[in-house]
Parts: sequence; C-alpha cells; structure tokens
Amino acid sequence: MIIALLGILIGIFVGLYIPFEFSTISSLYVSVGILAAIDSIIGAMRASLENKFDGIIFISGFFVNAILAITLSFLGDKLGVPIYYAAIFVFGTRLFNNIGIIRRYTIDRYRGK
Amino acid sequence: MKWSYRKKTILVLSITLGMMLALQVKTLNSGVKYLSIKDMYTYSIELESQKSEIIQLTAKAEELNKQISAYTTAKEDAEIDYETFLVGEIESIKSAAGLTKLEGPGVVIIVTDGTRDLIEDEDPNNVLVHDLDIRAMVDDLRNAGAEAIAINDQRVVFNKSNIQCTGPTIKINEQVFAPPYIIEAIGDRKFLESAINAPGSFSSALRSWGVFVEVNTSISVTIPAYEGFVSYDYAN
Repeated sequence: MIIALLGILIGIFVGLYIPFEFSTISSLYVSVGILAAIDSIIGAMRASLENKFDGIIFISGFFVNAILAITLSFLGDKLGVPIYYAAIFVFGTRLFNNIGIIRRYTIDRYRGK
Repeated sequence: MKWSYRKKTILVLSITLGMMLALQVKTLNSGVKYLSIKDMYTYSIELESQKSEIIQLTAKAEELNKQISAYTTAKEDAEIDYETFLVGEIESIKSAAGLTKLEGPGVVIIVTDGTRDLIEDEDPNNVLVHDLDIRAMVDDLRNAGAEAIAINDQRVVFNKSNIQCTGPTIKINEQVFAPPYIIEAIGDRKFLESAINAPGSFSSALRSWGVFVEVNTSISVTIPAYEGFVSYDYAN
C-alpha cells in the first residue's frame, strides 16, 4: 500500500517535470487508460493482501487493460458510440469492489493483532 | 526475495501511473477540455464559418493593401504628381456619385399628359403622367445602359433621388414639377431610344393609354450635377 502511494507520488513529480504533453485528441483516451492502470494497481494490492500476487498477471493486466480501454474508446469515437462508458463502468465497479475487499482485509488484520 | 520482486513491480507500475496522471493533469490544465461529439460538431460548424469569414476579410485586406500600395507608389514615385493623382481620384469618385456635370451623346425624352378626348365616364388619370410612369421609364433607361439621367434638369442619383407623386405634379429631388417632363440620359443613343420605343416597353404601354411620349437622340446632352447634400446619419 505505502509502496504504491510512494510510486504514484514519485511518478507525479517526474511527470510534472518532464517536458512532454499529450495531444488534445488523445487526452480522453489517456484518461480511460489511467482508469485501467488505477484498477490494475488496486487489484495488485488486493492480490498481495490475499497472497495471490503474480507479477506476470499484474504487468500484463496493467498494460493490456489500459491499451484495450484506449482502443475501445478510440473505436467508439469513430463509430459515434461512447464505448468508453463500458470501460469506465467496468473499471469503476472493480475499483470499488477491490477497495472494499482491501478495506476488509486491513480491518481484519488490525483486529487480529 | 519474492516480496521484494512484488514491491519492485508495484513501485515501477505505480510510477508509470503517477506519470500518466501528472501528464494528463498538465494537458487538462493547459486550456484543453473534454468535449462530447455533439459539441465538437457544433464547434466545427462554427469554426468553418469563422474560417470563411477570415478568408473574406483576408481578401478585403489584400484589396485595401493594393490600394495602399497604389497610393504609396504615387507618393514616392517622383514622376507621378501625388496631388494630381488624388485630385483625379476625387474627380472620378464624384462623377460616379453624380456630383459633377456630365456631357455626352444620349437621348431627350419628352413626356406630357395626353390630349385625347376622354371616353364617357373614363378616369382622367388614364391620360395623366404619374410618378410611377417616370420611375418605370428611368428604370428602363438604366437597364439600357444609361450612365447619367436627369429629369427637368434634376440629376437622378442612385441613392438620394426621389420621384414622388404630389397631386397633379411630381416631386423630383425635393422640387415640384408640372408636365411636361423632359428626361435626359447619357448613354448609347440607339439602345436608349429603343428602350423607350420598343414594343412591349413601358413607354409603348403609356402611349397606348394616350400619354404623349417623344424620344429625340442628341449628339450632346448636358446632365447637371446633383444639387442636394449627400450625407448619412445612420450608416457608418
């Protein structure tokens, strides 16, 4: 948990100081990709609490989910259907589920001590 | 060892996530905002119209620049007298606006009330000259390519002249005239003459009602300048 927050903070600092910006058009897709990435990291934290963490599954999930979400929203824009809603819905639901499970595990651990 | 591998993976990927977040925030803070497709369509239409306006304005600016360069060359070139150039410009604008006296070949048309006996109970208006008759004849002459027109020595200018009915008389440029009306026009004599004499023209209809219309061509017709003031209160 702490290591993930630390990583995000480091990433934000690095991202703020590197001279690179997403183009206007791609920013919508990137936001959906960010959602997928958050979902992967929360999922990894949950898995590590359950002692089921698998590095390959985590890394592949991180990138494949993000790329899939970006591709879907791009395709949806071309077709005139807001498919990115699907990505937001799925990742949003999973985010809340995973955070709920993490919360329960943490509380159990705290009480067990 | 396994713990540290897990830690490393999470660290690296959360750094990636943080970078994406920061970059996205940077992009969104730089004045970029999310638009729905419908909004994008509306904006694209607006953009198109703005672009065409830009094109129009650019063309206008080019035209004005050309004029400016014409003036500049006239000013800088020692061979061209700047004053003469400007005076010539003013003269040409004045003559286009009808503020100068003009002379040239043309026609003289005499229109007056008919002298025929009225049929029983006939409306005497049928043989009188009306303001709309004069207006129609002026329009016919303009269509035939008349360059300058005057009625009873009152210049007809394109945006200030009025031809108005005032009972048995006609008001032209704020001056009241009784028949006969003498219309003078500068232009191609044959065209102007046939515009009045041609069968089916307004004047031939007038003749059939009994109004007197006579056309004479002339080698030299003098058209006086417009005497009123040309000033605008509302137009900028």
